[in-house]
Amino acid sequence: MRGSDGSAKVKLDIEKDRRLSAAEDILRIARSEDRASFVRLFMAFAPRVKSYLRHQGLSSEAAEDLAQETLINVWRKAGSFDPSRASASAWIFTIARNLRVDALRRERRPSLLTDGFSSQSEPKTPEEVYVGRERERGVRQALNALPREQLEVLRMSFFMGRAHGDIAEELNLPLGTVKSRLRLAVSHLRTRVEQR
Amino acid sequence: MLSVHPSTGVLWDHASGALPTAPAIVVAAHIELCAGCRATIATFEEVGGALLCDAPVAPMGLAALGRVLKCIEQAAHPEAPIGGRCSRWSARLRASGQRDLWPILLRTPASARRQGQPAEVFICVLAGGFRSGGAVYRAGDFGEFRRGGFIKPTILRRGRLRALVAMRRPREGGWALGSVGPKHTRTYT
Repeated sequence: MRGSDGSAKVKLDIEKDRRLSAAEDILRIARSEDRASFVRLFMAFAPRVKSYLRHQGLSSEAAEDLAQETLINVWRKAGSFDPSRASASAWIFTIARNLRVDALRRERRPSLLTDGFSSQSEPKTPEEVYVGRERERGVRQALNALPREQLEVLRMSFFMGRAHGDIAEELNLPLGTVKSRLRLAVSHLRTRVEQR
Repeated sequence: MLSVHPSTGVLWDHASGALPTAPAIVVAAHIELCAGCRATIATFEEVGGALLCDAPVAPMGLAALGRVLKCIEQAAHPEAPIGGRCSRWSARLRASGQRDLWPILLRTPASARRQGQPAEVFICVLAGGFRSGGAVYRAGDFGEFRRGGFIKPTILRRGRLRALVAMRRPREGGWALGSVGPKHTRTYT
């Protein structure tokens, strides 16, 4: 994520293009059921969603099944995607996360009726819409500004679903160091994004 | 204006999907009522999106795309957006039309009460309020208590408190989900 200024800028530009085109692809699916857009999204995101789910402890087969289900949900729910509220990648991430949570829930408690929920709801004010647009940019910049060791702990906690103790063991660090790095990283993210 | 919110750690765990079901439902109840916490969750979900973009690719099977395309052909049209998304837990509550019985669950375990002081308690106040440890919790507020911190809460106006409660049992460690209503307290597993 970090590198020399020039290469980092090129990478950021490429990522920005990819993100913008992903959002446009989702909107095209919503508008005109565009299969070509869907195929592009599938090629870009299905392998990454599978990677996320593998990191969360799913078997290769289960991760592949859930990655497919995630992209099917992208197709089905494209009409509810609002680029002013979340980026395409964040929206796809929440779909994958919710499917993983639902799958775990079904596995543990087949009788539970509370299958799945979303933490997102409609923005209520123009200010929230504006904040939504700015949020993605702020998060990207804040992530790029994080020290490498904080980013590593953040990724392992959030993306890979590892417990603090497991991270400490894997990185050969005291538990307190892991907790403080994560606390600093999250605090930095909140501060940077909320300052905008 | 809500005054008591989940800690950043709890919001982080909620956004990453790490919270167990019972506390996740209570946090979701607060998030629906709190624009500030919604914004924080949205920020954390953007982190998830950014990490997803940066994730290494895990190649999909050769037939995966074909299977998915076949599936979306059978699914016909993408779902039309339904105005005003909300979390499913409250949709269930609204649909039920019942004021005191939360249609969330299930069976009533006496074990939750027999085990004494819970190890962790999350509460989202839906109506009324209570006082605990010098703080006042009113409608929309979120209480987060650990290791015996939830001691003898005082209900502000008896009979008016409605709240969604998740508590972690001290011995077995599992979470229970419950609701407090004007006429009864109900505990779910």
